Amino acid sequence: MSGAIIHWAGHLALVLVASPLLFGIISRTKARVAGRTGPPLFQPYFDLIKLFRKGAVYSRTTTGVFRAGPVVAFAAILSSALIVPFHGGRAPLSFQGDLVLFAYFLGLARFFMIVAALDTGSAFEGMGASREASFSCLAEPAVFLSFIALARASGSFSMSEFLSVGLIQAWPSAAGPALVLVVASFVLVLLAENARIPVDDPATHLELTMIHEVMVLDHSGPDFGFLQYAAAAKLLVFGAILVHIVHPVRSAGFLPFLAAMGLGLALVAILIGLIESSMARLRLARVPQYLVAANVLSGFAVLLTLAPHS
Amino acid sequence: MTSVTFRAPWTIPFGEFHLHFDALSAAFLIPIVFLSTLCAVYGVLGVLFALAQHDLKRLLAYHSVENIGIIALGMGAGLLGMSYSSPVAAVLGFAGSLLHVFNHAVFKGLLFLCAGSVQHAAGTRDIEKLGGLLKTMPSTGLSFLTGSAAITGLPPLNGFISEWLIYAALFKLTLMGGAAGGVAILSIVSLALIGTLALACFTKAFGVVFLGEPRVAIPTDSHVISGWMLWPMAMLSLLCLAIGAVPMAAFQFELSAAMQVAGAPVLSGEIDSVMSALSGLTAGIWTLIGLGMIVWILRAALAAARGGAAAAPDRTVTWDCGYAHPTPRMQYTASSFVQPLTSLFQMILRPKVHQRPPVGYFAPGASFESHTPDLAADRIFGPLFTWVTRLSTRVLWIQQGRIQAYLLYLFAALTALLAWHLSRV
Repeated sequence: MSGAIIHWAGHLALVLVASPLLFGIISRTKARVAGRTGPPLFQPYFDLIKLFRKGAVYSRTTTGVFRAGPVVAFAAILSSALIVPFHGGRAPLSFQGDLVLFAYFLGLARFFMIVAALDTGSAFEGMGASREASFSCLAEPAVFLSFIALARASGSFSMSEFLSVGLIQAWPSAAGPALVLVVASFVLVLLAENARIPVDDPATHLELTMIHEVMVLDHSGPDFGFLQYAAAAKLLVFGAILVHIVHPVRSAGFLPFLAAMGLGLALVAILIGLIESSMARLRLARVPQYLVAANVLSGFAVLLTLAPHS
Repeated sequence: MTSVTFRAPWTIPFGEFHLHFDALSAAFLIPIVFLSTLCAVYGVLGVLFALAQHDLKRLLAYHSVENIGIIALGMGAGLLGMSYSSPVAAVLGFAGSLLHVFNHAVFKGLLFLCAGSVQHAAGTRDIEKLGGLLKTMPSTGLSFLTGSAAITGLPPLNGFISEWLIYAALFKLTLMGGAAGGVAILSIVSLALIGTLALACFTKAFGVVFLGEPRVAIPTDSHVISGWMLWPMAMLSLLCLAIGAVPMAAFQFELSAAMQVAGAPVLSGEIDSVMSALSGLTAGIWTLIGLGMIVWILRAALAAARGGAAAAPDRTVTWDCGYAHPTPRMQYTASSFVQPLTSLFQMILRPKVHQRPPVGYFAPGASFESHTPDLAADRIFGPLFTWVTRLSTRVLWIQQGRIQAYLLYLFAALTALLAWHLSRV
């Protein structure tokens, strides 16, 4: 029993401690590419601490829904993080069909962020909420198609299983090409779901073209802190899944695995930083095409896994 | 040559009767595949049309179409499980489907009660004319929020449990080859699409009706919501939560019925594996509830840590990038909220737009309005019924109203039948 508690608490602590660092690495990468020194690597931690110690300002238009939004979003994203393995072995929450729970936890977070944005009665936040709702409709099928391809390639539909043992066997088999397509599709989905360039620009929120940042425009103090923390944890979760797909490692002991995972996540963060430094955000009208491309890639991956294996 | 046998040992009266499909044969597969595909299309179209509605009750009614699509997808998964002799997939599909029938009754009933209260209190069902109702009718608003999250299939509410069971059946089927895998993949993708579209639709419905500021002043002669209207909503909301919190009990509740429909015996080991997955699901749902409480307490603690007068939060107007006088008319409307999606699917929805664009430098006024007519009513049933009416008026002369004429018809029909019979002998 105590072992289980350590497993859960340790997993959660790992997510909470490691996630803001990814933002730090991304902004450091962007600064270096632009020829600047950039903020300290641990700046996101200082920002979070600052936010948690601040008071909050609320609009008179808002209700309890506005206050509940960040709390539910943060709790839902942390719950989803408990389904994804980080440190070799199984994640605390793992059972056949946990990937559906994973997707719907993210859906719950999205639902409450959207209604919290609509609670402000502002056109800006309504616009951001509308875009979030619309684009997620196109991203979600791509996520599920990727999961189907992974489940078919590995013969299991529990994340802890198909991301480790299942994929080790799948890569050298006939399913290899399908996995390459899944990786491509998942990178596109990761950028879209985490509000990064080329879908969204996390650096600005005042322009009418933004999605995530404009949704959280009215949140302040600890509420905004929870939202930022949730965004960091979500990036960590998606990054960990990507690292697992690209390089599935069978549990080689706790510390070596953790080191490998940490290195992989750092590389994902650097990749995001490089993409953000070298690309412009897409026009909004092009975003659906981008997401359809993600769907097509993962759809092809599924078709490849449908072919009878030799 | 279907090997479907209907053994019906009727026991009197209303006793149980067994509708027993012995291992469905391949010939039966094509109708199942057709049915599942049709239901996937049906579900997606239902939610798409719901998305484009401005009438609260009409929106809910279109969601019934979507939910029946989900129920039928579960049935399809069950039938596929039977024809591919995977009893556990069959049981999961049927159990999910049956549970969704029950869940749909609960949350749709709840949502319609809320919509009724809104109409009673605000005097309109037009979403675009409502807003900010959560402040004046908090209990109704909270019930609507619960119902919205439940119908979207979000944990920890009941809709999620039945959808998870259907997903589980479909994922089991995807691991099989052939048509079953193909149909299951199509079903999963459409369920995912239905889920996110429903999320867009219900964040719109709840957000525009209950949040923000009132768009149009509520008439002064509005009715008061009595306690008798609130109690049923509270009970149904609690039921949504209760079923969502105990997935295993919900599954057990449907298990015997699902096993009876599925016919073939399910190995106890397979039921055990389903049960262990469901206990994982329960753990996940309670983790969410627990973490939610912890974060909420943390938030309160952070506020308390600031202490004293500073703890009272500042209240001001919504930040509109420096604009200090936001008006309710500046809020995002329901049509604007769903515009990206309706324009993406305009091939199907064919929204009708009435607009008066601003002209000249000092435009006297401009307006924009859009509504989405019903595709089925306008393109299928309308023409069909018109055609039927035209046909029936054309053969109206047969109906003379004189008994002699009808006797003549009888005689003619009998003669014709006799002639036909003789010709066959």
